[in-house]
Amino acid sequence: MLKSYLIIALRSLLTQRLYSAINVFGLAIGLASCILMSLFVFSEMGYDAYHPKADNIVRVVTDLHPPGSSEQRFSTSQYRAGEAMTQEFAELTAYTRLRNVRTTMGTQGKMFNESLAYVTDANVFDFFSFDVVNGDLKTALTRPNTVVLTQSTALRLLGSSNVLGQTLMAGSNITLEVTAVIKDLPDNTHLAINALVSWGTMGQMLDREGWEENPSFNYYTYFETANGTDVEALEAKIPAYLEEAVREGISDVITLKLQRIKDIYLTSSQAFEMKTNGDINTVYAFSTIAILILLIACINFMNLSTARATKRAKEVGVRKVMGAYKSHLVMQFLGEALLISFLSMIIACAVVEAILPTFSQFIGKELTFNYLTDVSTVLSLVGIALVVGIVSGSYPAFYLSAFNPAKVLKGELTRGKSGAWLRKSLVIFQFAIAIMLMIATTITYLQLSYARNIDLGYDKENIILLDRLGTDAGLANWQVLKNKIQAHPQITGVAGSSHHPTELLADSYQLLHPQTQEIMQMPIIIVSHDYFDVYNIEFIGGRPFGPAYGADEFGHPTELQPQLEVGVIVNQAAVKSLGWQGSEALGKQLRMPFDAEGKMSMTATIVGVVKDHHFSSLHEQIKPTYHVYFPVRFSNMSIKYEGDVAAVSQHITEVWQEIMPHQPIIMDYMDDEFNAMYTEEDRQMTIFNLFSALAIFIACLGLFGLASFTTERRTKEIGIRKVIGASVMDIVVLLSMEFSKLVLLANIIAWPIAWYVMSNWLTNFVYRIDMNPMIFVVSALVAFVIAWVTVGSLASVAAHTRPIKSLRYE
Amino acid sequence: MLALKNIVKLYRTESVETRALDKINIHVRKGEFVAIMGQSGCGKSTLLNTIGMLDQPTEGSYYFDGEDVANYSERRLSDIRKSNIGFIFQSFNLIDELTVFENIELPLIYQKVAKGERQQRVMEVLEKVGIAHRKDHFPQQLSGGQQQRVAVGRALICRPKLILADEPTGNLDSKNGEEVMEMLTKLNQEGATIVMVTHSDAHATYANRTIHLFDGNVVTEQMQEDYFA
Repeated sequence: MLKSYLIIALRSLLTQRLYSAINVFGLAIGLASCILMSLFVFSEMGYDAYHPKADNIVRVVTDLHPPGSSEQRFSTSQYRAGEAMTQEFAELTAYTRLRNVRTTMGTQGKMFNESLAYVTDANVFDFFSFDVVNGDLKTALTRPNTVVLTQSTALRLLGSSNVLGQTLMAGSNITLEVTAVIKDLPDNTHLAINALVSWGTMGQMLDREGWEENPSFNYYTYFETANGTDVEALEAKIPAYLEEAVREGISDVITLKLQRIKDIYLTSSQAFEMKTNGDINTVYAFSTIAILILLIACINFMNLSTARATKRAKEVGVRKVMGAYKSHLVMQFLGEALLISFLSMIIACAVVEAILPTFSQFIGKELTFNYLTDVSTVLSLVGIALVVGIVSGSYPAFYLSAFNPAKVLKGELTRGKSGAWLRKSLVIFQFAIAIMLMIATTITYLQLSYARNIDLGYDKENIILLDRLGTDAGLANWQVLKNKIQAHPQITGVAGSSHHPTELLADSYQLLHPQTQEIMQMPIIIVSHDYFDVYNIEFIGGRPFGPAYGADEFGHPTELQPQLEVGVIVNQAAVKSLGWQGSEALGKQLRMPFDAEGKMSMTATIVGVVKDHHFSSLHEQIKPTYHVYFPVRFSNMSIKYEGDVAAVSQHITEVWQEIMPHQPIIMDYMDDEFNAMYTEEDRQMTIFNLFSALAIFIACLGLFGLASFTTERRTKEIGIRKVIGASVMDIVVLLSMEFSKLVLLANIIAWPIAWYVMSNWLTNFVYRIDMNPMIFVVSALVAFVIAWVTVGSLASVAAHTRPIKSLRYE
Repeated sequence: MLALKNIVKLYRTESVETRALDKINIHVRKGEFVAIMGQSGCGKSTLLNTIGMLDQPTEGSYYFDGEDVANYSERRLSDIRKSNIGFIFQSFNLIDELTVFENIELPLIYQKVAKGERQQRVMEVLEKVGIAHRKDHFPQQLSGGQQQRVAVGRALICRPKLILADEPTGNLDSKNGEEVMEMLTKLNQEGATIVMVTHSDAHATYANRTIHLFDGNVVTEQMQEDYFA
């Protein structure tokens, strides 16, 4: 019996080539998209699961929200958090800390910049899983001046990965012994590490007395929790603890949160994450679209199968007369559906196999598809094929098997009406999804391009950046370097600063709010005289810093000079947050307390107000910021040039090599840095668009199949209409109208849903477009055009056929 | 063999009630060849569908082999049908996707007959209806006469007690029509009971008895020859 079903199924696939192709390929494209999306989603969701203690490790992060200041969220915490919290909370059984030390590493005369080096506790290896290549991780970091390198870092710094026991230099005078080499970290972790330096080396690495007393948030701190710890409940105890341990009211200013390490990658986007994390919303969006595509493909299948019912009705009748039970027929048609879904699955696997490398490269993420070797993957694929086959096959199976044999053999199809109603509902549903996706992609595109083209308030073109000038050599040679670089005729300006646009503004100073006298934090940027000039930042009032205004210079009060007067330049947001308006702030003074007793402080006079500019990402609101002139703290150089960039960059490189031969140059282009902020977003947008287009395409495919079926079924009617005088246009309009009604209904369903979802999405953006009704109208029009072109072309072919042919056909 | 007592069949739509069969009483004995005649719409096909258990009567009793089957479930009817009744249709109703061999084999598959036996029986029937040389062809590749032979073969394969033929010659030219009628006559002579709906007076003469229907009623019954003599 099975053989007979199989034969029938295969032959009916072959005889109905168009429908079969639409079914099989539509489903295959749907499945392939679904598999690709799932691979991406599962890889995003599987971060950090490979650490044996993954379920028991949390990271503590710090949110700062001083009253009157904008919130700052750090992925790090203070030096003492680890020890203090482990002592306080029985649920926390151990802690480990990592502190990023941007440094240079290598051998004498061959130093490299190393931004992913961390000074860490020796027990870091108990927390995270590292694959050791050489050495013993248990003892690797127990002594000062020891380092563990990843394989590729060892190769880069020392020319070999077999470097156990060798020494390397960090900075200008620290020697480190390599005590272990580990494999490079896999992709699926939130950690980004090249080198781990023992904790006992911290003093040398920071080259600063009393670094333990520094309250800054520089330490990634992880805890191991006791089994069965309720992390949320534990987190809820922290504010009370802080109130008691630090001071009353502290929890208004600071919140410590605990993050499970498995959640960090998708849900955490604090400042100073080790690498750019993913976004749970992307995972949701991609999962949704994968499901929608599959759903649309399944609907095609159901629609075409029931539409073809009249063709299969006779077979059903004959089989029933010959003694088939209804259950036989249900099994037969379900079997056919399963055959198609498995066939589609095989094609889909081949498609995925073929395009996975390109897709991986495109999304910048290595995805693997072990559909032959990995049992769970095989089972999932078989499971999906089964579900798709059963879901899309069950309705046609029950529909077809319920035909009354006496009637269908006479050519009467009594169930046609209800089938048509369902088919129409499915088309409406499918088109509603397609319209929603069209609206969603249009709004997403418009929003992102709007955000990208906002007037930044500064000029990012033709600027070269030199980074890592905060080193001893950098600060010592700053002026010489500047002068020599500036000597080039194409270079029009050179500015120094602590941060350049596109960077995070994380450093802030305390000041007293002039109105309320409350302490507030405000981000600070250290700039040189010509900074505003180089970036073309406009002044609302006042003046820039300059050699003529020596009194502007910033500094730190000392016991000898406990009161200091400095000049500051603020942005408009700062003026507003301080309670003034526009240039009213000029000449006003701010008090900046420097110690708790108030003995040492600075008085800052506002000497200039600059226009607000988007210093950081456009996702963030412009922060109140003040600029100070503090030449000993410049850590980068912004070089404005004109004309050919090659000559300029060559000049800069030569000057650098002449003046700072021992420090590798880090040169970037401002507009690259700017674009880099949105690369990931752009990529995701492209994928989203691509798959939306696919969904729409599959929906059209279904419409085409259904329309061609309808046209075929109405051949006789078309013939009769033509005989009694209908024109080709009449016929085209007649058939198109039927589908237009469905598209109209689809629009009515899609619009409010799309409106609701997309308005919510837009609230994620600080600077956003308004919902424009035109987007909806245009999407509707596109949907109508697609339907008209599809149905119209088929109808036109049918209408052009000589009527006698269509009549003879019946 | 079969007896219909006061069989009524109503078709209802929202506004109209059609009485397709109106208290019909018919007896068919084992080994009889009965022709049913009448104008279009007089209820011939409804009667045949009722006899064939494809349709259930609205009222009345239907005794098949002594059992009243009028109110049996679809599944039970299907069981009786598949082992006792063979159908031949005007439009052949062969499955286009199956070959001649497979079409004839199909009823045996539903009866779960073993493969070896199936092959043997299908070959016998193919020989009997003279279509063995076309066993691997598909229905569309055959002429109308040949298709009807396949349909007859399929009706015979289960060795049914009763063969129901709904205008078996309606789609055939006279030569092919005659051939099919001769085949049916031969089957009848071999012991099969046959009930046939036809429009053709000539073909009705092949039967032992002709029943004329008019508006759902039996109007005349006419013996072709004295069967009981």
